[in-house]
Amino acid sequence: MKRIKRKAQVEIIGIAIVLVVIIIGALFLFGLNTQSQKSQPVSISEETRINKLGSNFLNAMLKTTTDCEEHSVEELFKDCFAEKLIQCGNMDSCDKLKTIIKANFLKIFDDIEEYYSLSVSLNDEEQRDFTLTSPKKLKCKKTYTYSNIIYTFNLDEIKLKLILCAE
Amino acid sequence: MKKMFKKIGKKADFKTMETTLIIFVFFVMLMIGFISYTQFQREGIEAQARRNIELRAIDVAELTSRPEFRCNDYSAQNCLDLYKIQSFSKTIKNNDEMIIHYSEIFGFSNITVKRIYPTPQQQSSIVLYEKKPNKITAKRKYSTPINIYDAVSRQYEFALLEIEYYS
Repeated sequence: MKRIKRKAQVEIIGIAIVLVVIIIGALFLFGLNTQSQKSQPVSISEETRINKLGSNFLNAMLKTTTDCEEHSVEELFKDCFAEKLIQCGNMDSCDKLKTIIKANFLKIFDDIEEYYSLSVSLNDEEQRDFTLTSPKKLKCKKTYTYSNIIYTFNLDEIKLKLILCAE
Repeated sequence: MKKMFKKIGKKADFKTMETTLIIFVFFVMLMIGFISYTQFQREGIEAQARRNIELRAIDVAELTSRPEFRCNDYSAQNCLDLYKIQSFSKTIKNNDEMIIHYSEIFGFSNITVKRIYPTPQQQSSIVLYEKKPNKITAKRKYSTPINIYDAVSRQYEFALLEIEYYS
């Protein structure tokens, strides 16, 4: 009777060990799966894509000729933070910039579903009127900042800062 | 004696059943492990393939530096000449030799220039190149902002270079 009881105990320990091994294995697989899905670093191709998008956007935007007396965006910025001599219909250069940046340039980020935040600062002082952020809110894995500096005729420093995000 | 044989037979049956069960559980665990392993492997291969297509699409976007497309103003980065791309788009449509030549460079892809600002009077999109495989297994889209230079009016437009790469 005592021998049978001991044998039964050994069997139960065996089953318990097998169960523990199965549970550890399942937890390991589950952990590996969630880790690979969540904490995956931003891929090189995604980084390259965002870097090109950010730097090309600022360069292309500043070079573009506007419908305001054929001035470029860069010229409008220079005028906006200096003499404000340029008139675009019933708007000055600052109003014209705000209108076209929001309606035409930043629209591309909405079309390609990309988060953005554009800010402009004059001699390191942020110009809140020009700060534009994407309506789409995201949890970013990593943010990327791009900036272009232009100088006014008075040699004041205008800094355009664009923040993009990798999902 | 007969009773004893019957008891031994029953015990042997039980042992056989136990062994079968253990082998069954072992194979089930082996199968689960194998399936999980192949799934991880497959996911890794698919992710690598996706990254390769993305990088290929980014590579195609370097066409802005090709002399047959780029504008002559070297101060502008990522700039395409409007008249060059318009004539290229017209010429390649009915020219098999050109399609064969450029398919070695651009592969299976669809390259479109979307004109954004100032809003064009006509032809808001210019299809530069289009070649699709018979069966599309994967598709990636890549967009980057560029300038288009109109050498007659001497104006820079803001545009989006869209590349759809197939495999």
